[in-house]
Amino acid sequence: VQQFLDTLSATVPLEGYLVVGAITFAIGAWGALIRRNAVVVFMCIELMINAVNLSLVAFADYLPLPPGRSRWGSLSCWQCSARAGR
Amino acid sequence: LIVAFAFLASMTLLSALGVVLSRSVVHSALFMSASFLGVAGFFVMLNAPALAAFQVLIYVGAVTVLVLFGIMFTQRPQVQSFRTIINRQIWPGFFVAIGVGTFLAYVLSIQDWSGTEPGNGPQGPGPLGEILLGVNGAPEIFQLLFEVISVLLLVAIIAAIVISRRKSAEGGTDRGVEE
Repeated sequence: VQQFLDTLSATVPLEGYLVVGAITFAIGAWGALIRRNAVVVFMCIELMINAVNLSLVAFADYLPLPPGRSRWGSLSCWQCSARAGR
Repeated sequence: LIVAFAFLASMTLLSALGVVLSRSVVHSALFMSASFLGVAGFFVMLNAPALAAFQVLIYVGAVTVLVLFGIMFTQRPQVQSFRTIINRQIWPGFFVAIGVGTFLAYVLSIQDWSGTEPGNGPQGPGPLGEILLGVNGAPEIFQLLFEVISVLLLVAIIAAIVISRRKSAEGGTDRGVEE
């Protein structure tokens, strides 16, 4: 029982977040390929953008970087380009 | 943490599938907001509470409302049969997406990520503001990016004002529109 509780409270490795982001990206790409409605295609593109955002934040939290590198600037660029695209 | 991760992952992925496969456009928008909420939960797990707040405010609030307004203004929301919402590329698209997903997951899984542990990076909104403004020894490139993004948003706001004025001036007076 104690071992089970330890596995429950273990920290998630980096691959978990990255794989979830990859699968979300694939689902968004599938929807952008097959749907006919333009609004739904936009929503699927939003899903893909969010998957990339998730992987960027995961890298920023896990990789040993000097303070303040590569996280906020790239994220802000992503989100504002997404907004300007609308 | 594993339990929270599994819950958020299932929420995000099932909502993403719901966006693709639901027959009503409004349901797609609501599934999209649920997926964004799952990603916001991931941001909280990744020690980024400021980004989680931005995610909830911008994506769950603003983008969902924007998409719902777009649906309301452009088309009549109605439930269509599954055959009419997709084009003829469902199986090629499915295989392409499966290929992309398995390739990405495989490449990311065989990579050796040992030596990485959580807890790096700036934590709260205070360090975020310092980095964006370039004070306290933060790199100055983010200050430039901050200004560029501010100008971009200002251009977007002015363009929205111009477009809405021109549309409203079509029926009646065209005061202030130069053409």
